[in-house]
Amino acid sequence: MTLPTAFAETTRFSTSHAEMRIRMLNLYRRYIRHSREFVNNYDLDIPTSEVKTKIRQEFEKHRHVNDLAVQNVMYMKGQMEFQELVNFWKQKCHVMKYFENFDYYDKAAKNSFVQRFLKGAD
Amino acid sequence: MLKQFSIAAKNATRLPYMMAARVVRPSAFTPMRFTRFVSTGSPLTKEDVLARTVSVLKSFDLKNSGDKIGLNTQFTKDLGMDSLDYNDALVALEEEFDVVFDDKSANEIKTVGETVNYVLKNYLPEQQDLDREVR
Repeated sequence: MTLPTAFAETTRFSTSHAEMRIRMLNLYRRYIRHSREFVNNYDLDIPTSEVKTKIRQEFEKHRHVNDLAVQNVMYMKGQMEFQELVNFWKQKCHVMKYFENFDYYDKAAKNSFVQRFLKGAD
Repeated sequence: MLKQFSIAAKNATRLPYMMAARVVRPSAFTPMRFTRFVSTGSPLTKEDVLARTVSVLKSFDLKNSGDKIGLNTQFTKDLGMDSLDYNDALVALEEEFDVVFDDKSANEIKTVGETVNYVLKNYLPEQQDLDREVR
């Protein structure tokens, strides 16, 4: 049974970098803490360590964002993503999108319209 | 099994009388004490927690891995961790000891000693454990 409000958080605008930083770290810790559950719930054929690395990568991507407004939106989206993941509101394919090989789109041979359509690329 | 028994039996028969007589018996029967380990509180000792903490931390890719990790070692200063590394380490410790660092203390903890103290304070012995999902 899933509680609709489990892991929900009211969206709130942080007005200082220090506070934002702490909230972000809390979110990161929550993600890492539940990484094993992600693997179990979604039945991923990926070790937990790799999931942890992926979470880290996703956070590291935005390490150098300095705009507080942008950071707030990112936190909000990260929190939503976490809630959806941990409540099992997604399906395996949605989780596996994170583990796609990013070189895949660049290959000229696979760049025809139909192949990109099948892949779900924009 | 049978072979072992037969050998043991042979050896027993070969024992000289002198040795058999020298066997010391307790003068009074001492009843076995059945202690409930659960009710004795946390079985973890501080040294125990520190040793396990250090072994967990050693599994990370530390900048100053040659240094000895003690109670006063600071995560960011001495071990060269950044904030995300440090949170990785905290979660690894959570998995090791089956505790959960609450947000407030997790952000305040600076040294290995503080984590050790936190674990000792919040560690639940096995039997009193609630359902993991609930925790």
